[in-house]
Amino acid sequence: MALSNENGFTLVEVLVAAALFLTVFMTLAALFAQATTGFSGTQLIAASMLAQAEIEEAVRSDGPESRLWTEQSNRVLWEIDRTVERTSADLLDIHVTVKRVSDGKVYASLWTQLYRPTVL
Amino acid sequence: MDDRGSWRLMNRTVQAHTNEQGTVFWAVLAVLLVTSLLFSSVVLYGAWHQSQNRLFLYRIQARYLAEAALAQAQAHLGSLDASELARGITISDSLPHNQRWSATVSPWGCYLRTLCTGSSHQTTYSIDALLGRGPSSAFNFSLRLFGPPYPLVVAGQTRIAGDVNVGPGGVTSGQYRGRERQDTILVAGRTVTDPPPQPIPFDWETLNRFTEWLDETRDQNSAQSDRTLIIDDAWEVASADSVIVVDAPVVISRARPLMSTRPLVLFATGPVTISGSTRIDGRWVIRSDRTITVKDAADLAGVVLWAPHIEISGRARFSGQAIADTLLEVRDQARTIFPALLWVAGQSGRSSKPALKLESTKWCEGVAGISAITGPWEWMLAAENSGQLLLDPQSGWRGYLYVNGKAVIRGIVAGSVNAELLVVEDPPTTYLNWLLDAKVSRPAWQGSTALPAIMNCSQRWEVAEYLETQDRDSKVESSSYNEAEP
Repeated sequence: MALSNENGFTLVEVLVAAALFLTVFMTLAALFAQATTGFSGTQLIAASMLAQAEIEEAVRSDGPESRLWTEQSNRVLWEIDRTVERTSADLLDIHVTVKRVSDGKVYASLWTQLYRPTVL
Repeated sequence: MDDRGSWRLMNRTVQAHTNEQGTVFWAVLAVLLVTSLLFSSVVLYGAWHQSQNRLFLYRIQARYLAEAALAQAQAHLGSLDASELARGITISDSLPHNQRWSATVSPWGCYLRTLCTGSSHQTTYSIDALLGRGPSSAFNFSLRLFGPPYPLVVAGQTRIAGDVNVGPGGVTSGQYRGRERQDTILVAGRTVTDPPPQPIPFDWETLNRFTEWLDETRDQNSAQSDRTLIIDDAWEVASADSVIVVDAPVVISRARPLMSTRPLVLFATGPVTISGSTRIDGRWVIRSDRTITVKDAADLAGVVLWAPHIEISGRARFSGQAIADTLLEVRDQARTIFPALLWVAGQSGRSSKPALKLESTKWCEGVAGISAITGPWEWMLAAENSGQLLLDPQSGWRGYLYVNGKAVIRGIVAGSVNAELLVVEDPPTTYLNWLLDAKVSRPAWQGSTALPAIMNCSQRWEVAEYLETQDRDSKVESSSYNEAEP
């Protein structure tokens, strides 16, 4: 069928449309990448650093104890759970989990052991 | 091709060109191609970024698994006897979520070397640490004399801050050679005489095993040269686990640092001289059948030196292990820095005179001692057996001094002295347990120091030095030297 109106689109219009497409695609791509793991990259880093800081605090302490607390970081409220358990006369188990308060999703989990003899 | 049937989207273009093959079509196709590429790039970048974020967490976990391995090794060592320690151990464990740790412990000089690895998914982290004995109550005192039960006699410009542990004779003051002068004698602290102090037993098996390993390594490698080996800036570490055997002297003098994460064992039948601005940082063992001299502005860290005679002089800095069979000297403006170990480990009854001379005018720190002399004190006092530790009046030591024999302490000790006898020799008279013109203060040394593994004084194991960690410093930071020299 012959087109009765042959005005079509200008080059500028096509480029603007392409730019719009690009913006939408990039947003979708970011959402896609996040959807594949379920985590935001920046928040994952923030949670990892919180977990690391929590373990370092235990390393510096002579007698680290279990504790549960919250901290605002990267505009997100985090729940930091540190569990300290003595597994032998010489060793302490340290387990730290960092979860996002809004949805309860665990972003970072770290484990280590410390040498803390009870008898010198 | 029919123009009307083609992709004519731009009337203006159609009008402008006589050939209406569809310029706009190609333009749109190009835009879509670029868009697709960008989209793919963003997706791939997003996926890569996510994996990097995950990797960040895995790296942290791998490091703490390596730390856990180190803690496990420390705990395990506490249950072993001397022969088991000398043989070394390997322990490991696998955990859920693709995680694993392992630790291997073996003798390394007077300490134990621990290689710990943690792995989480595809990342691994390694720690290479030296382990030594934990704090011993023997070093809670400023002065502890475990020899014959003579009283401790203080004379001259003498100050003792902290507690003293001496035999039932206690502490007294006296005039040295009857000199008429205004003595300043201050003993601030408790005097403990009961129970009488005892010497610290030694685990020779650990050091012997290291010696055996050195001998085996030497036997398995033939001499590469019988001419003087010169290690200058053109010389490079050849390969992993290098062993160099030279039937000649060795001269190490270079401006570029030698920093190797791989062990290098250097055997020389001749003397070894390390001079200039040479800097060696790594797990090197330098064994000479003659003398090892560290001088000028040489800077050695983590290195094990072993020779009959070791001399550290000039403006050299040393924070490794120096193990001498008979004579070890620190002179001029040389400095030893924690966790330095200066040890004279000669055999009992040998004819030479084992001695450790601390004569530097700069503060030195670490652990220094003699374990060479054992026997009846009458034997020790004989001139031919006059091995001793000497701390010169202009010298200062931070840390621990242990002498299985005689000590002459004339300088400043910020730390603790353990000796069989304190001797001031003034022939024909020998003054036993005399402390003359010295300053000894245990409270002035607040740091904790890992003792050599060969000192069987504690079942607690401490990290003397992390050799390859980037994130964790040594347990005790080296003191600053802003204060006045001794």
